[in-house]
Amino acid sequence: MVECRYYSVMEKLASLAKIKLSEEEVESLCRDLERTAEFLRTVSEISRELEVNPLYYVWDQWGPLREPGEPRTIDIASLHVSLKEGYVRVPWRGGKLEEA
Amino acid sequence: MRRLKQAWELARDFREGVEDPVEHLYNVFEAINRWEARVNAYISLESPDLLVEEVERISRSIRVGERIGKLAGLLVSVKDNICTSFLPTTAGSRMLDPYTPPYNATVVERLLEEDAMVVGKTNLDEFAMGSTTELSAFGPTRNPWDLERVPGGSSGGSAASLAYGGSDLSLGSDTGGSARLPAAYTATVGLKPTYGLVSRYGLIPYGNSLEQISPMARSVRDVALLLDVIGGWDPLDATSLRVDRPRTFTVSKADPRKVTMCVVKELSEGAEEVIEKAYWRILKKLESEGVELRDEKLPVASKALPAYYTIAFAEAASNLARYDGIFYPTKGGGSSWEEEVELARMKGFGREVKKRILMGVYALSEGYRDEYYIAATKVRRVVRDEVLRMTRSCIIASQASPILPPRLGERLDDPLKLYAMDVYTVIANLAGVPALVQTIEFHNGLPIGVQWIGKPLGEGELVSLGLLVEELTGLAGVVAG
Repeated sequence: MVECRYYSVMEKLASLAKIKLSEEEVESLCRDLERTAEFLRTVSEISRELEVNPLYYVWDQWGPLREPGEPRTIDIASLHVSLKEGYVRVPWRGGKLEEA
Repeated sequence: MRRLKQAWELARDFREGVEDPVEHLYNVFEAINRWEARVNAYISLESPDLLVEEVERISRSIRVGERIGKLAGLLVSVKDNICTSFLPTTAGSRMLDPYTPPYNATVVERLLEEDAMVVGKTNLDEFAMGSTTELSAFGPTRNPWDLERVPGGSSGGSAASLAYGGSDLSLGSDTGGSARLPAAYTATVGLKPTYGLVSRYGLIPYGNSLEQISPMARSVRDVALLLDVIGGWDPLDATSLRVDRPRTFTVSKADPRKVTMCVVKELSEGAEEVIEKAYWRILKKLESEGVELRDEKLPVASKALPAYYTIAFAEAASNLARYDGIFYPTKGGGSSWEEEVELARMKGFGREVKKRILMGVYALSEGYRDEYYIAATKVRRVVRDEVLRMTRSCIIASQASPILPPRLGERLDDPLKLYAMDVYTVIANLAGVPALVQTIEFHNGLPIGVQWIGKPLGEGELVSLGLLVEELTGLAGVVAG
């Protein structure tokens, strides 16, 4: 096992992120992760003193991203979906199909 | 150092029959042949035969007096994270090699509507995650001004293609400085537009609340020409602002007596000595021309870099979850769905991308979310509000990079050194405001850039100021070699 405080955290993160890591990657990434996490944590020190709300969308003062429109009804028959053994086949939206 | 005609001058001369677009195309081919093997600016190039066919069509249209677009005869390079249906779009990643999207990004459609010719797709740090263009699955791009040095990133391929004359205009993208840092390192101009001014439809997402497709060129007027073509509302992008196409190309050079500049302490110190000296020289020069300099402070600036990276990592973790070995070219070869996904992501992603995804998952995970992600979004609000307050009455002056272009490999061993290169540029992305970087001087053959940050939708004022600075420096249109 590599000497890194974040080793167990990293294993958990890799599992959550669905990324398999090689042995060499585990060692070097763990060290980077440790340093980067320390660096990013410096934000929380100042944010405790900030009495403001989080900002997710930079133009929040100009209103929501998109005004809600009229509810749309969808005609299932127009979707060309097909049911097969409990699965729904939807139209392909990109890339080359390897098999039909 | 050589000087080429600016793209807007070329377009004008093509229309007036003074220059031949066919001959120009062959000049660009020659530059690509001479430089590309050493620089590696492009991941893919359009077929020369197709380009010749297209330029001959444009040439015929001009001869018979048919209507032609604003960019007719100009060669535009496009960063390889912007979708094109006629060339592969890899985002510099093995994961997407050799994916060809079934559609064009809105910006590409707008280029084609104006008769631009897309000459190729440019190299970038994988998924735009980097500041040097060394972290591409297709090898590093080198800086034409010094081949031992990086061109900045992540839009380093776009900047390098301009810097050696391998394109007339270029599209980059800018999440935390990715168009502006390369501009500073290659003596080109990069403009990060107001968030929402340019459609992101067809931009492969990395940090979607921060990034904008950004025009790049060899002069301020050329950047304005390109912005006017690609900007404006797009119903296909939910974050697109409901605004008309920008009109920045026709703005005049700023009257210095009418310009107020905020010199922010935190954005004016901390760089290498030669950069600081060049920065103060241009500010003093502008002041002597009549520009009013006003001292300002932005205490939260010291936390902008970690706040930016926290948000970018979190968004990256979410955006890159779609690469699962099912929809895109790289397959895992696993025996179960779980294994297939894990192996595909292991094979397809490079080390930096994996690291950023893991950090993003960490910042969003239960128990750490408040300490990282929420804290960063609070800092972002303070940065945004302070920048909006300042830019109501002035243009913010800032250094563009703390260092001269580093040598290849110099910044890769320490992630914090790499991230520190963006210290001056992330502010504009956090605040959503426009920012322009242009070259002010050369030091030992290497360009030094400066950054101007404006108010929301204040691109016209930045162009106007940029034209004034360009007149003082005389550096419009320069290329390496």
